[in-house]
Amino acid sequence: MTNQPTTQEHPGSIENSRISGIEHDHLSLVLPIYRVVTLTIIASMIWKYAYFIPIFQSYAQLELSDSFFPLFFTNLHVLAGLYLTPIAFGIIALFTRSILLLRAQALTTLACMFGLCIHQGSYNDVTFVTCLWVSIWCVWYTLKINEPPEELIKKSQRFSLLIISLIFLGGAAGKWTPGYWSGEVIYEIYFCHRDFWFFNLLRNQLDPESLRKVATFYSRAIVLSETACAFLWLLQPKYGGMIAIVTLLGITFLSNLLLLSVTFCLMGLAIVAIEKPRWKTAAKSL
Amino acid sequence: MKTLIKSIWISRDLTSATLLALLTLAAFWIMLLPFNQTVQKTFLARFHLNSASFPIWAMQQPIPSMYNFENRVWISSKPITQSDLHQTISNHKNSIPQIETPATLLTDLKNIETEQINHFPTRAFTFGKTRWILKQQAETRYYYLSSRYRNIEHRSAYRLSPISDRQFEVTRLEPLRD
Repeated sequence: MTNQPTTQEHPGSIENSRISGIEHDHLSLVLPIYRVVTLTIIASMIWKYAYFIPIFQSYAQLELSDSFFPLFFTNLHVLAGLYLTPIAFGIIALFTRSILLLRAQALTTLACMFGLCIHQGSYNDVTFVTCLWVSIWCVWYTLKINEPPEELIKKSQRFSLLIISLIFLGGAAGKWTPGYWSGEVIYEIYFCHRDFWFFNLLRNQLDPESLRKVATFYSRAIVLSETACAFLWLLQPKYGGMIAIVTLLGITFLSNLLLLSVTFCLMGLAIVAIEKPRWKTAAKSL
Repeated sequence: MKTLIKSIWISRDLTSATLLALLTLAAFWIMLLPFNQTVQKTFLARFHLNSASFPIWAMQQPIPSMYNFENRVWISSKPITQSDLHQTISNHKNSIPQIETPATLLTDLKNIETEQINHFPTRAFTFGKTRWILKQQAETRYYYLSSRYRNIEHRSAYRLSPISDRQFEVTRLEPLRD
């Protein structure tokens, strides 16, 4: 790893230029945002750690022979590699200033996330789908990292919101069903038997009929809020990002803390949307 | 958004154009879901690992679909009939709301058990601790799955049988019909 910026001079870039009276090099302006997003991907993966240990143990005890999956994507060592590599590479990305290394890290993370999305042991886990889309953003960002910072940040904010909106759209469209509108699905998954503080509290306070009514309200709130969030890309990035964070935290703390692995990386993108570029902050403080 | 497209167009920014095209394509595919039955069947088959081939299934996996559809699994130690499935749901819906172990995590399977699944109902036997449960009982289990999106329902059935003390075989069976 090198401590020297290895970026190429870009026409119109402000590398090593004087901005608002403060010396900045190009990478010190554009890297913090990338590192925040990388950190949230690492957080997403590590949040899964406590859950993944018993899962690995379970898989080690019993293999499933299913002709649908190629052997490679049923192998436990492959699963462990796909899971650990993005964490290791992510940690490197938090410290390196080598653009080549950052690009390699982003591409490797993307490949691993796709691998996790199609491995027999992890295909159903949405964590890896959200991390995959955030990794796509990372690949794009590292490829464009030599662009003038202001232009890069503006584009990255727009793409952040587009990705968050897509994730919400995917969640919402599959819920436009009678089962979700009536609350029946959510009632059974969460309200009826789930051991979580929010649902335990409601079960203790309400009779079954009222509980069912609350489940309907809760389910409709989810359908409507996810549908609304599919249009976040129409808002100013700052407001879109704020609404995304509030919604993601709401979904997590009112349903299942394990969902933080799904939402951490999306919150990283939401922070990008909210982020006020550092040189603007510096200019104001002068 | 207009500014983004304009900026991409003016600077002939192929990388950004590719990302935008990818996002548009994914969004378009998702937006077809409520309107097109072929798309609905494709989405539902994906949830049951019933796509035409692994590559076709794998291509769809990046499409976000958390908590999609009304998915249910029935688990039994012997083959069951359609009327058994209906009877189990009826009993299940009358159960008292209280903290319970999910059907997929029950070690001792006495009756036909059923559970609503958030997404990918095949997770009932592929994911996490469910394999540990299979290992504990070391007996053949039958899984009947259903996913519904409005008027379209996809059903599938699987038999999981021990072939050694460390391996179970997944066999696809004919799904039950009304």
